[in-house]
Amino acid sequence: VKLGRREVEHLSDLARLRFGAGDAASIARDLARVLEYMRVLDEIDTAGVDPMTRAGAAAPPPRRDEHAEGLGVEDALAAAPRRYRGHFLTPKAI
Amino acid sequence: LNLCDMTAHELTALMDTGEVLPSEVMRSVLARAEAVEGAIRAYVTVDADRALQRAVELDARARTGVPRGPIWGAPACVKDNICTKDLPTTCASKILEGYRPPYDATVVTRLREAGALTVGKTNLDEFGMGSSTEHSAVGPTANPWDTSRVPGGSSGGAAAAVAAGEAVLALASDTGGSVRLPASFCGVVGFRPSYGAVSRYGLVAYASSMDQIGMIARDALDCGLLFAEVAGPDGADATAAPRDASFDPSAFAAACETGRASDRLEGLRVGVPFSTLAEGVDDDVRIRFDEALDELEAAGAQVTEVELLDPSYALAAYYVIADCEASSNLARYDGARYGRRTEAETADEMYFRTRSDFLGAEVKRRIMLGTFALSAGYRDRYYLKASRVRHIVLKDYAAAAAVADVLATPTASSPAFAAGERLGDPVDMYMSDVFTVGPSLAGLPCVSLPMGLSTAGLPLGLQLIGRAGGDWDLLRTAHAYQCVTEHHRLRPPVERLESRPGEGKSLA
Repeated sequence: VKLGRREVEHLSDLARLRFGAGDAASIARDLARVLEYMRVLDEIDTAGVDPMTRAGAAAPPPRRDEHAEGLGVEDALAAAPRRYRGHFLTPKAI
Repeated sequence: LNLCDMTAHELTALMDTGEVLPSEVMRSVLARAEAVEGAIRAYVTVDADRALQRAVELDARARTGVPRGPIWGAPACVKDNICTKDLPTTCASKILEGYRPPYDATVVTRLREAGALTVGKTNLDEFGMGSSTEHSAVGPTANPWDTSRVPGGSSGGAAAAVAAGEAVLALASDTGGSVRLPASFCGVVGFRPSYGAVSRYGLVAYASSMDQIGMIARDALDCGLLFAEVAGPDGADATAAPRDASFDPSAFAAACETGRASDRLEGLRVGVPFSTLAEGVDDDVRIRFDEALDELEAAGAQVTEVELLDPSYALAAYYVIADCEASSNLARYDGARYGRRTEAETADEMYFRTRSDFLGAEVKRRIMLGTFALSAGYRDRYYLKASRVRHIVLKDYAAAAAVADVLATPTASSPAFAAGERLGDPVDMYMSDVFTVGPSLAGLPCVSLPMGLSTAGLPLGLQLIGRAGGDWDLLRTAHAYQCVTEHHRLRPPVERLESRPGEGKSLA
């Protein structure tokens, strides 16, 4: 996999990250290095093997819906960078 | 021996007879931290005044003869990615500088209910992403055995603190080896329970299908006693499994006292994947590992060869899956609800600036890699491929479990490496985890035990891997090994660490 400037820009857009020119070059180099290592996975035949997305064989059993106290507005907002009348305050989204 | 260098069960015995008070233990730990912290920098936040005050409050109860649990009064540290309401929880990241969670992690609540005292929050690689505790926004932690070397990571602060006598017990987290690798490098015991054995409510998420809270202590018995207090189901975490009904903590402790715990090794089948150890393992590690197998055999165990997939496949699969999960989990750091924010005209621009300004380089690297491996056109080739390899790894361990009761490998292929040595190439750093990621992928319980020193005097770790859900069997085996060996009694030469003023900057 070759990661050019445009690919790195596309990925950083998806990840909501921005890199300066120097950092972008070094991140492209690092990603290429790591992806090259990950090519060892191609050596393993995984035909017919299901992907495993959780540790342990079974999903946790479903539980009864029960009412419980939440955090409450004051606690939830306590660490907010900005707040306004019981809400998180952010810049305009649209 | 100073009080701060003793185990929790030794201290409990002294406190039970009234010989020692909780405040004396805490003063010893705080004095040690004061003396060595400038050189080690294990902590992000030390809560000395409150820790001492709480210890003094316990003194009064110590005199009343009220029955107390096995870790009562023990000074414990908590990795700084585990939420504490009364102390900042920074994950060693600038983006959570000064952050105070609105709740305690379940393990913290249970730790305190058991009467243990929190000394402070320990350093880590940012969000748990690293193997050396060098990727921390407050600066690196040093290895107490040789301060020019790393303590391992990501729980390097917790392992260094326990090794140096700055705490007796530690709660930390292990995703791909973050408890076991630093335990190996610092000469202490690091236990990673089965997936689901301990609630993760309040553990800041990195890779949720593998994240697990683990214990670091000076022996396997202490790990077991701490595990017993924090394990079990939790209404706040659907993945926390029921407690193993077969376990009786008092029987576990009693087995030690009777001196017959080592009987357990008689006839125990220890499986070793010799073919995967042939290359890339330091001579020092190989020699000490062979001697550890001899020690197990001398106590009656049968060492047998097992076939396992080469660990380099598990390593590659681990890093694909962990980075994919990280890229999703860390989307929450956007400046909107908590943590730092860089103001901007629009919300989207705020996300970009906040994340770019306050996340560290290694974290960004992993988010980028995970974003790539989940992106259109690459998901099948990377994420799904790695998830299929993960399934093969799981089946591999299941097959080995048919012929062995426990598996043994070195925890790491080398002793602690020099600071800076593996920062240049990310794959070099990832290779540190080659023996620890397999059990993480499979969700198996595993433990790193001291197995002696390298020729240069650095600690080396023996990793034992148990069966899924077989946490107590594994801990009993680990404890039995320590009944017939003395490696876990070695302590780093802390008297050599001069008191120096702290150099790290604070995020708290």
